[in-house]
Amino acid sequence: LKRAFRTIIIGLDGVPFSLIKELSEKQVMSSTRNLIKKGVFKQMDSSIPEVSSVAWSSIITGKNPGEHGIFGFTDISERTYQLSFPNFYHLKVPPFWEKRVGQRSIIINIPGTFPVRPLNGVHISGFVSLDLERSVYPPSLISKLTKLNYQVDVDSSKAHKSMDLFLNDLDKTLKARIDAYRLLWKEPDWQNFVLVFTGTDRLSHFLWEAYENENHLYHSYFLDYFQRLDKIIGEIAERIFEHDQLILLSDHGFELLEKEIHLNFFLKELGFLKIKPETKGDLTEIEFGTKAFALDPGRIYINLKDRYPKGSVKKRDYHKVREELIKAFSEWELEGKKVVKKVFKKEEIYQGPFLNQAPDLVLISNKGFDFKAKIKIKELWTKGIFTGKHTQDNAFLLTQRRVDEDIIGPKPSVFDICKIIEAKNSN
Amino acid sequence: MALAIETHKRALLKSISWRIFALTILGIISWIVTHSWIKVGLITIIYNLVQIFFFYLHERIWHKIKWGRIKHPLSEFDLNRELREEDKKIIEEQLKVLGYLD
Repeated sequence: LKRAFRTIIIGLDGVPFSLIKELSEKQVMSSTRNLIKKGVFKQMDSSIPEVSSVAWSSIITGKNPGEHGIFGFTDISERTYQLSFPNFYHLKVPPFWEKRVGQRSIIINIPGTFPVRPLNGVHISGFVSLDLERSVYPPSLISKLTKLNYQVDVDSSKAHKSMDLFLNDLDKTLKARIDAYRLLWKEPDWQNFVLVFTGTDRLSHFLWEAYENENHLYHSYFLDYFQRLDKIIGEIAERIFEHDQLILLSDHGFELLEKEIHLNFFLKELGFLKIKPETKGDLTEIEFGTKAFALDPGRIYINLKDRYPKGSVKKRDYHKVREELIKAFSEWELEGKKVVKKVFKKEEIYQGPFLNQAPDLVLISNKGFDFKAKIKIKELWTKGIFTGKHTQDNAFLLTQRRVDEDIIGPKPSVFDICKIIEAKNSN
Repeated sequence: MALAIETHKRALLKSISWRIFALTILGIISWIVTHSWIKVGLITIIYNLVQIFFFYLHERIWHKIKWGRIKHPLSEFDLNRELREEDKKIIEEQLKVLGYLD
């Protein structure tokens, strides 16, 4: 009897290529090292901006934000300036498993896939999810997950109180996620299995410093966390059949955070953004005369007259204002260091029917700088509890089929993942 | 479980073939009983008119019967509806603790 091949994807949210390379070489991740030896291991570009909701939406659809419609964790209502929160229902293109008609899929913890919708198989959504009732399909699975103490995400608010409390919750979340994967692996007749670990991203946000500094109190914890993940990677690698396709990947990378840079403060200082000094931190409070405002992480919107209620930029001045902004961002230096690595016009990075909803400019920060779009902040930069920040060009891809290299080329991007899945599917 | 998509064309063709099949059976039985083409015609017309009404009635009755219907928690989730205020607050809080919002 010929067994049908299956696609298995293990996602390590926010894990950079450099970390996997280092920890596998140092034998902290020995199972991953074995997979690297046999497969194709590449540094990968993330989406722009490099946030999980955009990157994962691109990974599972193979499309860019101009086609799938997800530009960030937040978006803005053109009528009111109010923030909205795009979710799985706003994804305009079906994920790969919905296109593989007749196949059963087990989908666990992909960011941006809340709320779940019925499918042939099982779906547990990832960050940002509100409650298990809307995060789990089929509903009959909810009671089993509750018994496993499954929670969609670690409670990151604990890190703001006590790092030990946070790490305790991180351990519990990981254990329950592993238990859930083991339970669901036994489901019959599936062809697609996606398992994403998001604790890696949370750990890196708060404790990237601990990874880089061997004397840090939590350095060994950091390595131990990745060692535990490596064991699961090894366990899955042993469970797969000869013709199965195993893909390991991350959605973006990480690096040390030196300064949080507040884009709206910068725009205010340069006169592009006008807002009352006593603002509550809400974009609805912006005033007439505003030419541009920012959304997290580096999305710049031009306040066009026919687009926004307090729009102040006439259509004919759009390109002039955009060029002024590009010049300002390109020349921006902080303590002798360029702040912005690259400024993209929307049409340079996005194509598709939702291009008109895209930010007019997207910025990529230079090393160590993390762009924020806080409104009520009164300083250009701050340094808070976070020690790690996302990177755009340092995600990783590890696939076990050598021929995948021909499809993805020397530097793959998150948009290429569907290509290698589909190539396998058509074999 | 195999999952396949029924195209509109296929569904339409099946509807037409079923109607022809059902009418032929009714016609044959009516002719065997009555031996009259006029009566066969009348029976066919009356039967189909009555069927439309009773099919509607039957559907409405079943619509009110909840037995055998599995309700998914998302069944009342309006795709175009904005999130509830309490949902937004939870999301905002989750994004705040990771530094994405003020």
